[in-house]
Amino acid sequence: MRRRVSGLVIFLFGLALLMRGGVGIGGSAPFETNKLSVLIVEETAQRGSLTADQRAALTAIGDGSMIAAVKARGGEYRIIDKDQTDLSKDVPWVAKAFAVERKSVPWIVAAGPSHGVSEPLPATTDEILKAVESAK
Amino acid sequence: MSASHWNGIKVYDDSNYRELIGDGKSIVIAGERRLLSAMPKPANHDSRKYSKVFGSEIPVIPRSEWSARIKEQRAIKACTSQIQNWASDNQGSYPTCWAAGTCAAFSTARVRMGLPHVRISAMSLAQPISGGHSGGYEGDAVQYLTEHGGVPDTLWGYTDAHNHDNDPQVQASRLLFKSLESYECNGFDEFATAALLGFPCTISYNWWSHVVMLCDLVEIEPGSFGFLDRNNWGEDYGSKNEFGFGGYVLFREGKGTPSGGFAFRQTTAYSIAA
Repeated sequence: MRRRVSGLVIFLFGLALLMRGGVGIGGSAPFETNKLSVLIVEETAQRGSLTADQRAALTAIGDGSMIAAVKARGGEYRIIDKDQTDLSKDVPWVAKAFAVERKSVPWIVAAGPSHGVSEPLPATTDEILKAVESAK
Repeated sequence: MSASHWNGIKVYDDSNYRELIGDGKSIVIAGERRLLSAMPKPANHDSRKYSKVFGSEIPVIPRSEWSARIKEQRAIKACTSQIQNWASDNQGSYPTCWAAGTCAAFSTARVRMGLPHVRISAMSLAQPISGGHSGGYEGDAVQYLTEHGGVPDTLWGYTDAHNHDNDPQVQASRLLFKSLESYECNGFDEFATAALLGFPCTISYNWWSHVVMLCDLVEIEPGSFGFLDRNNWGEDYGSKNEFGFGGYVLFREGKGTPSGGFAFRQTTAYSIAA
């Protein structure tokens, strides 16, 4: 009985991960890039409904912010609306990151040369920074 | 008694706004004549052709939340003035504030997206719209940025009133610097919400006949709010930001309530490859 319950829990957890979509922390780089590259895709009209930490990830440059963390590692970031249709004129990684499958917005896709993450934008700064940190 | 300064920055309001009006058409600042030439929104102007209504998509943030949000925004350096690591625009002695304030807000919106700062020439909008020697309405500048795009001042001088649109490089450049989405805002609270959400705005003040860029919502004293704007009169005007760059002027709500304006939401994504 206990085995059945454990199995069911594992199954449901896996199903939840599949439905959420994306590449978990520590996974392979979801797109090709030669340096830390972070894309957040949002629906700008819904910016007001983000958590304070999510909004901070999009706008803050102070110590401890996502943008500061990316710049400290010599990386690049973009904040792009989900309805952008042409990213061909930006640096190549942006279009590649934007093409990674998303299940919802806001969404973060981050990659380094070997590892990265693609997932719903976490609700807290700590989790967002962990996601960025995992891209290397 | 209302505070006359906030963080060392002079507050303009009903008591002293006349210092900025000059003769109503121009004012001399540091020896340079600055033309006050913004025009109100024309009666038959249809801004729905190129912009959305702010209030139709974004709920206004309640005033009860402003004080805490302002403190938080400033503490994490999320205010627009805190990301502007570049010198202010300078319209010179041309009546192009309506294009200059718009270009400044557009350029800042690009930086908000993570793109490099590129100064867009105010004349690249003003010249094709009305020759570069006339006052205008900021909505015309937003519409031109949306339909045609702007040109970096490295390609079209910021105050160069000659027409360069015969240059294929200029035409190609316009496609790279276009506004994709903007909101027309109405009233202090909508502009305050735009500021708190990080959307740079081009705004007009009919009493001043002038257009500038709206940067931050500030609380001058408890319960009394204002906007920290950035003027287009170069680095020698106004107060400096944390990077030491100038052009900032602070208005209390009332005289500081824009007569009109637009928040930039998204621009084309173009950057010079690393």
